[in-house]
Amino acid sequence: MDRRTFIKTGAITATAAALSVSSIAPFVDAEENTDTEFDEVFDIIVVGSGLAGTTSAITAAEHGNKVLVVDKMNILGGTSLISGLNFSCVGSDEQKARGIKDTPELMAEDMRKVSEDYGDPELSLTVARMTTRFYHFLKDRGVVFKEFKQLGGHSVARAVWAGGGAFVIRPLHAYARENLADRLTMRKRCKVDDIVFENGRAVGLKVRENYYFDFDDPQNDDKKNKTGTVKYIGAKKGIVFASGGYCRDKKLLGAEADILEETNSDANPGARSGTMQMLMSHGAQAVNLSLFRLAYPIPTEDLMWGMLINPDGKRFVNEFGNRNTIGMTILKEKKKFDGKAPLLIYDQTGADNFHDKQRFQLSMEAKNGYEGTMYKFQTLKEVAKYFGYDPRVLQKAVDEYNAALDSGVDQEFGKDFSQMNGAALRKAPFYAMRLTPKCTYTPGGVRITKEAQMINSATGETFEGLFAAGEATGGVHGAMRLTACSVPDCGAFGLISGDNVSAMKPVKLKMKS
Amino acid sequence: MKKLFIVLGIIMIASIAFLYQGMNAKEQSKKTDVVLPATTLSASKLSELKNDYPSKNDQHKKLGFDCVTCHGDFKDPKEVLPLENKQCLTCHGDYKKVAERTSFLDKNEVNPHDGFHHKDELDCASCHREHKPSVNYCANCHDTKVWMKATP
Repeated sequence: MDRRTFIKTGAITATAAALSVSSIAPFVDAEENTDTEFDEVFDIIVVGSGLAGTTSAITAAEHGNKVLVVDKMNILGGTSLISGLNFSCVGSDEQKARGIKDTPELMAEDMRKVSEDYGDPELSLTVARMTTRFYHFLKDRGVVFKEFKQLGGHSVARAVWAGGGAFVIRPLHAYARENLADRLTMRKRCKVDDIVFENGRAVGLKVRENYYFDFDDPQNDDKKNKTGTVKYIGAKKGIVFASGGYCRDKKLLGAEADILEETNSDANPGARSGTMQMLMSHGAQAVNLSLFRLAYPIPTEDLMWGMLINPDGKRFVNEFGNRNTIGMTILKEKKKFDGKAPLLIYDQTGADNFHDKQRFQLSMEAKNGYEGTMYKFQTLKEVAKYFGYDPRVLQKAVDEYNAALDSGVDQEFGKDFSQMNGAALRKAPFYAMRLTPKCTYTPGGVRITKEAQMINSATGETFEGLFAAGEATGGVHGAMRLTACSVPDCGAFGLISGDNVSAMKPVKLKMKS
Repeated sequence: MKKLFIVLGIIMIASIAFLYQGMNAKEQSKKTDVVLPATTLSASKLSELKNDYPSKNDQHKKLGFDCVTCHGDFKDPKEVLPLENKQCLTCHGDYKKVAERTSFLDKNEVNPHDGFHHKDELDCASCHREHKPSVNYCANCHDTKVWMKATP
């Protein structure tokens, strides 16, 4: 562990003590007790019901274990249920049918190219190596892939798509209900407050059932929400934390980088850091917490076809760049204008050039998330009127942009005009939207081994009985998670944690009499 | 522009449908026999609680509901939880029937009772609240103003 991470972790752990519901002192096993009497006992508890948790739980139940999945929210499925869930997969039937040559090493290399050397290359390779198994895991349990895509940053076509998260999570949950009902229980509105340790091994959880997430004050939910009834649930073999990321946690994001408070997010409203901070209070190492992944309602690679202007009608960024650079520039510009987001405008040719027409269509139908709606206009005057610009200011911006395009050189921002394929701001109709980057994924989280074991920062050893998978973990992707690589991550460490927690030797636990 | 017209059209149809359904609901409510659960709470305690936890739902107020009408009998108000769907559906029929009332939103896949993401798994109380103003759960992530009016 490098010094910077240690200091960061230490600082956050200190805050964690203050924030945590159960007020545990850092690095102390608050529930250290050799004789906890549990209300219920399972072989394995999985925290989180998104893709990673569901995969881990199904895997563990299929190994014959009695498994409980808990989720604090009012609905099961986490952020996965509402995500696109494109799945980068090496060795799919779709690749074979097209004769596409691909290897896990090539996929891992693609992932590392955008990582800016953050994170652990071994974890990326582990993810890529597990994709074929996960592909069949999903297909065999009722997931149907409808499309095969070549996506940005991937050196070959390898993404399969089932139609969105609902078409992955629903079949998996239905499969579990129909085939594993005797072994697998899924419980919503069940919030984890703490871990119960016995002789250094994690053997259970302190939870609150009938937990009602506070949608009226979500920023303070972890700290102030007192709903629910306390229960102790034992886990004879171990616990898997697939508790998700913290995209909606503006306090933590803002503490890591002030500007991130300006982001939107349409991740699961429960995507906050409470569970991670509880884990850290027991010494779990958290890595890469300062990293972030910005995204837009439309694909980053389709921003280039348009022009971005601030409320003064001035361009301020090269629209053809990487997601985080454009995003940070927009966030800074937004801050300059009291939170008012810049405007993105396309003409018909630009709209026709879109790589991903499905997401363009979603934006036109107002179904592309918070502030993700695009509007169509016959004239620039209409654009100006709708978005509150002086029509002359907008016309001037458009004229200057078109003139720069004609000259072939973007003197101001260095946009590569040779790639525009005819897109300018000339051919009506025009399409426009306000553009605020969204924080859609947090690459940071608890550090794991390639066996999905959680690592204790105090000892450098793995925790006995604690595993983690999915967005809850850190270091798998580095700086900018490659598109369509969260699904394989959830899958790989979901499967690995499910296998490995199943292989644990069970401990004897006492039930309340 | 054509899109705008379509959107406006949807909003107009939605408003008409809401009005129509509203009228319908009034008639239905007249016919519904709500059997009040027996309670161990005294009338004075009930009226005190009603003041402490007032209803925001005009229709329910008109019908003269008190705590136990929806929550059933209880001793300590602290033990009372938000309603489960089946409790709401005692009077409101089944989830499918509720979804049919907003089925004019099906075409755009944004029927809140049978939506793209959540199908029939959302709790009534996630949007319709008795003691606080109702909210639109979809608005946690979406520009819902384009689709629909305020939640009743």
